[in-house]
Amino acid sequence: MSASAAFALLGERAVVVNVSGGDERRVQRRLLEVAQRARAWGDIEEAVPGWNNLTLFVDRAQSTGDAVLARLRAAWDTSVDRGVAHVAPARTLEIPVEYGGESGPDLAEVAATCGLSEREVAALHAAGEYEVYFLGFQPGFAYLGGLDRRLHVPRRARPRSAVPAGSVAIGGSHTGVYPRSSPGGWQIVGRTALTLFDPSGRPPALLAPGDRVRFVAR
Amino acid sequence: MRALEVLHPGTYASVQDRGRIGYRAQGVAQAGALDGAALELANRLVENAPTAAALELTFGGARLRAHGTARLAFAGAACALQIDGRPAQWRRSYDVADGAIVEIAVPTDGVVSYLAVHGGIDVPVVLGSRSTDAVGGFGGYAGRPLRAGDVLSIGEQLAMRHATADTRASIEEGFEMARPVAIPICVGGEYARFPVATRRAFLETTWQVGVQRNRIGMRLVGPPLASLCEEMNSHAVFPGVVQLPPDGAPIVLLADAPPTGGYPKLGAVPTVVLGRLAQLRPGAALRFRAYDR
Repeated sequence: MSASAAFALLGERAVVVNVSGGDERRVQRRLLEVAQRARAWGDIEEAVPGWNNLTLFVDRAQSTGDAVLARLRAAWDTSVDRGVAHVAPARTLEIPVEYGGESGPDLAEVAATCGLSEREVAALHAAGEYEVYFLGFQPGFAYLGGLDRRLHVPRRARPRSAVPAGSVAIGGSHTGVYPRSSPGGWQIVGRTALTLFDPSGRPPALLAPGDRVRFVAR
Repeated sequence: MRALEVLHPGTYASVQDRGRIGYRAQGVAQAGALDGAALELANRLVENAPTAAALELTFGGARLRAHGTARLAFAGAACALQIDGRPAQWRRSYDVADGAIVEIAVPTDGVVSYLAVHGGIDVPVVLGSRSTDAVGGFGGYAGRPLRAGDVLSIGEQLAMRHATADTRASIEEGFEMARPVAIPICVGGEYARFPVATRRAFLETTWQVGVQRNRIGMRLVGPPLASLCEEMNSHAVFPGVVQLPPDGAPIVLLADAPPTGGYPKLGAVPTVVLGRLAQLRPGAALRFRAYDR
């Protein structure tokens, strides 16, 4: 199924492109390329990628939503679906993880859901080649695509009121790391000691869309 | 050091300015004053730049002490006010003496009030803003809401202009509210994909502001609306976006909403109306009025 893009305005501030169909990873790379181009337009406050979508915040002192929408459509149409193989890896970051035990209180449940042993879940998770699709939910929280299909598990029926900082977790087809203690519904399989977000950092978030990520079991 | 000491913060008080723009793609919320017009007015009354940071109080009920002289002004949800035990007026500026005690009562209407000080609240600029990001734990004062005992530095005074009767006169705010309040909404997002009955009920229902309201958003109470069955991919959201979660109760996102969300959307309330919306108390009635761009 080939990718089809739908363009729309949302309120007075935002212009959105939503892509359905197509290879999720390739669509995401194409959207990130469009986001990069849009940031140079000069009338965009922010370009915010989501999961197979992109939202541009219009600087209304400079432009209108309609003008940005037309340009966004042209940018998508002229962006190239290069295919996964042709894109040179951006950066690869390694995230050391302690799987299971107190660090990964949901590992046993994930293993039971997947019909695997805890060891197999940890090994599959650490073997994955992940790609940062976008950041959201909380500062520095990266949604990683590329999770092995065997590890796709639904969120917890009852979210935890406090997920510890550094928790490595699975939510549906994504995996990610909680930068800071917060409520959360993803299944926690491990923990890292890395700092994912430092407000005094340049940039503050450790991970950026397009980065490749590998988890290394400790 | 000139400063304001928090003796009692009230329900929820935080340092806010116009908010943080440019870091959504790193997961950072916009934050900033819930009622931008009221913040602007408070800053104007003390001759601050519109970018200055002020205190945002929720349901008033705060007490502060001045360390050194300070020029203060109050705007937003109007509260009875006393400076050193003497009644003072809302939407005016006052020069207060070292040690002065400022007591702000609970407002009779509205939710958020602003206390601006000439020179601004001098907390560090983090990622382009002095606003508190309580989720990320940075910005504002120590990255958190205020507590008793916090001492907030006051920024450098500009060459103090002698206040004239004019600048001291109260400035009228457009705070008059019809009941129910009509809130314009630019329908969009998944609006066209909702069942006709959902769309009609959304616009025809007189909604009540629920008790679940905070700086992240307000949940509306009314007959549950049928939402979409499909799951949405996470996408950017912003203050003013109205989401419809599976339980059928719409949520209006406010300043501290995270930059992405996954619920279907009915549209977005324009930024200029958000202040008025944020001043609605639990139980207040509102109706949405769809408008064409």
